[in-house]
Amino acid sequence: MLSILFCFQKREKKGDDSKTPLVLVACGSFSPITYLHLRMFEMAQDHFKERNEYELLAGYYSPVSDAYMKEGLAQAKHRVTMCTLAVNTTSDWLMVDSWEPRQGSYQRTAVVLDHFDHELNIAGGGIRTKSGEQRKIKIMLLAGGDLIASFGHPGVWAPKDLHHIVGHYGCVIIERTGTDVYGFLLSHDILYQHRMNVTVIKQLIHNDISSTKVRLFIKRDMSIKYLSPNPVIDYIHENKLYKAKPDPL
Amino acid sequence: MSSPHLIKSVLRSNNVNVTKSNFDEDYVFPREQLPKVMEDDSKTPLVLIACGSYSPITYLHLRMFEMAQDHFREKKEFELIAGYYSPVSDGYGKEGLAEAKHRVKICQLAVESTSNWLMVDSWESRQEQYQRTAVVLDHFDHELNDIGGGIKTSTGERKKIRIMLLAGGDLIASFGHPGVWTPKDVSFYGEKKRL
Repeated sequence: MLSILFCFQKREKKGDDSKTPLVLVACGSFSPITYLHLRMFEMAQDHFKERNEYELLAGYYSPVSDAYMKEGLAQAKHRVTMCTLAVNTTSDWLMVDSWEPRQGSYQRTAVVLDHFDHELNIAGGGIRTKSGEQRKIKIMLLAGGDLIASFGHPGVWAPKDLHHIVGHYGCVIIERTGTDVYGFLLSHDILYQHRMNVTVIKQLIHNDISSTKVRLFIKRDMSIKYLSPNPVIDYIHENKLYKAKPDPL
Repeated sequence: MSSPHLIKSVLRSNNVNVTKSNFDEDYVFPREQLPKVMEDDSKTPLVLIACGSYSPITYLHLRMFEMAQDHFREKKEFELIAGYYSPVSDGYGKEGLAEAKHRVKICQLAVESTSNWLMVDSWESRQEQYQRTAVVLDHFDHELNDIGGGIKTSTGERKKIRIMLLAGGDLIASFGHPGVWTPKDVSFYGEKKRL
């Protein structure tokens, strides 16, 4: 059912040769994917359209592997399917890559970004410009303020990885309602060092749909309509995901 | 909604010369999602009306009804049988109002493509002059209970449908703004609970 091929379909010529081609990768649990996850990419698109440096070509969701063992994680195949339903029914520039969840063990984000770099630039040869030249695609991590805040938790991220993710690639951070991203950037040595590679996007319409709350609503038989696309909601109900575990008799 | 805007709108609506928006179809009170029979005879049948600009309708407007549905499911008093959006008429003169027929159409697109219990009533929006919310609720009472005869129970008996206004905190807060709501209309609402 799930294609093993890396599904990069957008190999058309770039629109504007003066800009650097860019692809954003959103790593996360997506358990389940919500409209806020989808909005993140839209906000990023608006941001880059305003500026003249990058041409945003495409976006990918990379759902984390089950080996991450976080509470609330539905099976990887379900999370990948829900993400796929979401992007296929609502978008024409977003895709889902299932490489990360297909790995037997948890893959560090730095390694996931290397995988995208390999697929897009080495295996894929980058993208062709109007003049026929092949250009390397810049890859950046797209994240919410919570993921970035986790950079500050001791022992969670190896400094080498942070340098690789922020220094070599780059980060686009969507400011989560109620968090102080700028303050955090100032205080974190590695992020501050690579601050030129960090883009912070402010949410102008506050949207704080949380997957954790969505799972809770499902468990309590409450409506999650309009928090996720309908096909995702239907899939959740058909597969009885996130329901309360029956009491052991 | 800020108080000065509301007062200005209400005052202006009396003077606004608005040509009636050209709707593509004639007016019919929507009943397609109304069930014919109640599920639980012991409860009071309830319909919620959401008045507003809906310029444009958003997911938050749609969530409001979902949250209301969850709420009434928890409580045992009412059976929520349907919900209506009643977009305000252009006569309201509020800033940012797209033409009524467009606002009605986008509400219809929203409910038809995403819901099976919500409907859009264009009566209010087809009026040339602004209609006070109290009058709009009377219109629903008339359509649902006088003309529609309420709803049947499983025994064939007819029950009157209770009608309530569904609103966000901003609309309710406006109840306190002097000059916006007449005391007669507000006391009328005093009987109707707000969510």
